[in-house]
Amino acid sequence: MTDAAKPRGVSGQARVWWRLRQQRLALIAAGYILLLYVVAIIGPWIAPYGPMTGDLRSTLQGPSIAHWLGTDHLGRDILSQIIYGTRLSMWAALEAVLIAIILGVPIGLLAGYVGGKLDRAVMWAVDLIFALPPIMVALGIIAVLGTTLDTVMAAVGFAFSTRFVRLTRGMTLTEREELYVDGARVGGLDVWTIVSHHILPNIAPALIAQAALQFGGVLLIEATLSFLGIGASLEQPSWGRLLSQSRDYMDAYPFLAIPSGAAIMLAVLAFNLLGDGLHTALGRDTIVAKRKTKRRKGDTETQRHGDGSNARSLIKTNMTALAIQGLQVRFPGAQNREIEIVCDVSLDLKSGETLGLVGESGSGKSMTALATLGLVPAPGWISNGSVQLGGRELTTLPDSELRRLRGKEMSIVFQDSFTSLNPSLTIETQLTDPLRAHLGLNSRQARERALELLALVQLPDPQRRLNEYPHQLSGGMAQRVGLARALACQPSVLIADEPTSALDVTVQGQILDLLKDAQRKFGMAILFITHDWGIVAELCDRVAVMYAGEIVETGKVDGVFAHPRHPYTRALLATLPGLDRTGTRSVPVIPGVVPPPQDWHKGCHFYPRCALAIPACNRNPVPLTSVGDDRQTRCVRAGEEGLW
Amino acid sequence: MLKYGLTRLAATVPLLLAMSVLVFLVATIMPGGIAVVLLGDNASPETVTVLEAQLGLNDPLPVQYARWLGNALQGNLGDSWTLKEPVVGVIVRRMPVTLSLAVGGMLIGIILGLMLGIIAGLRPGSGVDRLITLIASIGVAMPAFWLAMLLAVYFAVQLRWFPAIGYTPLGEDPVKWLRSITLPCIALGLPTAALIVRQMRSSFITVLQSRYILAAHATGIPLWQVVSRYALRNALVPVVTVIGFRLAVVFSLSLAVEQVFNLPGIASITIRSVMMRDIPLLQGTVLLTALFVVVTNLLIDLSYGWLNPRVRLA
Repeated sequence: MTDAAKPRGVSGQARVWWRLRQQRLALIAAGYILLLYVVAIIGPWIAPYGPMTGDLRSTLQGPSIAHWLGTDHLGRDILSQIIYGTRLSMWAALEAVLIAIILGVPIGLLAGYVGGKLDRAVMWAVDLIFALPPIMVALGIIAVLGTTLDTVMAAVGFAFSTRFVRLTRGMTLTEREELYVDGARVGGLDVWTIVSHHILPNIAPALIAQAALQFGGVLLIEATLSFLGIGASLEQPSWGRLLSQSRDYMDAYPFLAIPSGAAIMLAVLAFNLLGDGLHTALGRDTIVAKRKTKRRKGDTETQRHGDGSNARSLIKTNMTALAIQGLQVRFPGAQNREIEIVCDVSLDLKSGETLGLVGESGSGKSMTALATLGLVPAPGWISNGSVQLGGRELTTLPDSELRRLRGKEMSIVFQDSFTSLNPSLTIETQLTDPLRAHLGLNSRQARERALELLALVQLPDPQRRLNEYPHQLSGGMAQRVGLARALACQPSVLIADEPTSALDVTVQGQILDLLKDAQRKFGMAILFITHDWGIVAELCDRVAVMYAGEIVETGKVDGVFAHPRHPYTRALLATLPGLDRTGTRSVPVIPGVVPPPQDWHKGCHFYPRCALAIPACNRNPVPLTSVGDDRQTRCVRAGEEGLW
Repeated sequence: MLKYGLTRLAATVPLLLAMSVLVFLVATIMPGGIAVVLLGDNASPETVTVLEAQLGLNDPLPVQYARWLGNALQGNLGDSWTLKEPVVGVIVRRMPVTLSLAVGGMLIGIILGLMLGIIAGLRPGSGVDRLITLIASIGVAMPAFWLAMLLAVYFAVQLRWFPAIGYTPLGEDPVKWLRSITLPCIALGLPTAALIVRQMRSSFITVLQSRYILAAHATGIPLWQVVSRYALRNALVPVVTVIGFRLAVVFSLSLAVEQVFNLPGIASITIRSVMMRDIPLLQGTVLLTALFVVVTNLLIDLSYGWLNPRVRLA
């Protein structure tokens, strides 16, 4: 299930229910727990025998009609004992968890909300107890207070309360910063009202999920203690107690250990599954989608866009560094539908040339870049189209061969240099690994080459930097390292995915200069992804404008700037403050946002936001048509004179 | 790294002191007081008063604590009330058994857990992943002592591969020692592995989806290198936390497993101390657990430093 699979426009609570219903295992688990409690309540009426009624003439018997699960060493019916054990174990677990919640949640709420000294003191004490295994804490308390079942469960509840304190406090700390809490505070409500009426209801669902998980732990501890002879007395048939009795007959009658052990395990399993299910249903993160190992589909579609072998003859291989034809990327969506997030992208990139790829966020620029490198994140896949690097088709290459080209023939610089560097490895490791993999250098040679590269990207003090970790660098330095890594093997194609957007203006200029220098030295082609028209004007030879998964216009930078031939390009250019000659500083924006892929129109994707839209725009997919020298646009009205 | 290690070591001192206060207080809050527990409910008030004076129970609490701590630091936790011999001696004699089980169980759990967690995390949603996840869910719910019983019935009683009960010290016969702790270690190790699998799998999946892994793939280095060098180390950080908590739990789980195999570890004396209110013995075992936990946490902190340079250099 991906994020797209959840119904949109549904309230949060309904969504949680919806997600919970999707989890069959959790529902089965909930049903089983309900059944256990029903058995616990009506046990005495449904048990075929009393828990202590034994028949010494039939001891240690296997399952039979009279005794479904057999009998024990005193001839007592095991099924009946399990049923009475359910009553005892489930009640004991409930008691302990309730005690843990009643003790833990208020303390956690107060510590988290009030903060300061109170919080520090509480957390110190809690950490102290939390450090000890709960069973030891319980044993300590039991030694002092005695070994009746109630004191045992109270002790276990106390031991587990620290978990609720920690969890509640953590969530309260987050909630405290929310606006609604500010509102309540300004409204003059007292601490207790804010905490119990405003914060508690918001964190309650997560607490319930946690409680279900703790139930499992408590059941296990109760069983362990009973097994050790602490807690349930000999006359009280708890599951753990039954197990410990069966220990003496392990040789003679091993089956005796099965029913009670299975009862414990199934109950714990049910609580764990329910807890996991609740946790997932509440989580903001999406569940990892089922991975589809599907690659390209049938050849028929491929031929429509021109197969690799055909295309090769058409493209002058000595000139074209990268050729993308009809590229399509899909992800699995709800109800087994597929969602296309890159629809039909064709790009040509010649050696030594810089092509700008422009568009708003969500238009599919980065996905195009990743697909070019064969790095579409799972569960997505390239469903159609061709990518050729120096005349070599990449979409049909196995991963191992693609790896030999990645980083060597083509490489990428990402926007956020920090997140793209591994936090736990030195700069040296991260720079030299690709050098050693692609060029077969030994570690000394690779280190020397790495130093040269750092000098190339003008990183000061490269010797020292090599031994440092990413967190010791500034943003600009990290981006230089990222650039050095991308340039390591002098690739013929470099994809730069907004490499300067996160940097301040002066550093931005320096990085762009470095890119230009490197391009002059190595003659590589650059695909520069950006939403900054200033960079396009400064750096690029040609530009491709992308909207909602499609290229909507391509052409030489000057021509596109002077005469945009697509309403989206025109709208984008109109947002440039520099072009606004009226002297006002207001930055106009295009109304609306790029819609999510599942909402893209069958006709022109820009139709809902377009100022020039006519009914014909929404009928059929609009093809990219040539309008003059090296100029293409995807607009139904491209041919109308006077519009442009 | 050395400085980091020393700081962490120094940080354990207040924790241990606080633990010792808690442990000391256990004795003083006994209903009726220690003397009554020692002499029984039928003791005359006079004998109680005499004994209280002898034990120094009339001194102020801080004085009593200082005396107790002073003795404890010299390795004297007093004599067990029921065994009539020094607590430290009893514990030192029985410690190797419990430690063998805890360490062995942990090793099995860590090795198996990491391996299966990585295999499952590499292909989330695949058949292998679902199988491993299912087994892990069951494993987490499995009471260690029940598993111990099942293992004993099958591998010891029926197949006779391992002894069903008893313990041979390592110094006496290493092979017999290994055979005597194999089944208990597996019983402790499998549920531990299940827990680690779940954590490793989810943390591995998260790391594999991160930007720096994508960037590592983009540099074209081999897949095994991406997984082993770029992903594994980062994925281990949350797993190490789980391992740390688990170590303490395994230590306490070994209580029940020791009972199943009739091993002469600290389980029986712990239970004895609880059931018979043998306070010095209880204090000894709880202090031992606390020490074990503190040492464990120290090791965990040190491994954070190794795994995460930001911690080490901070």
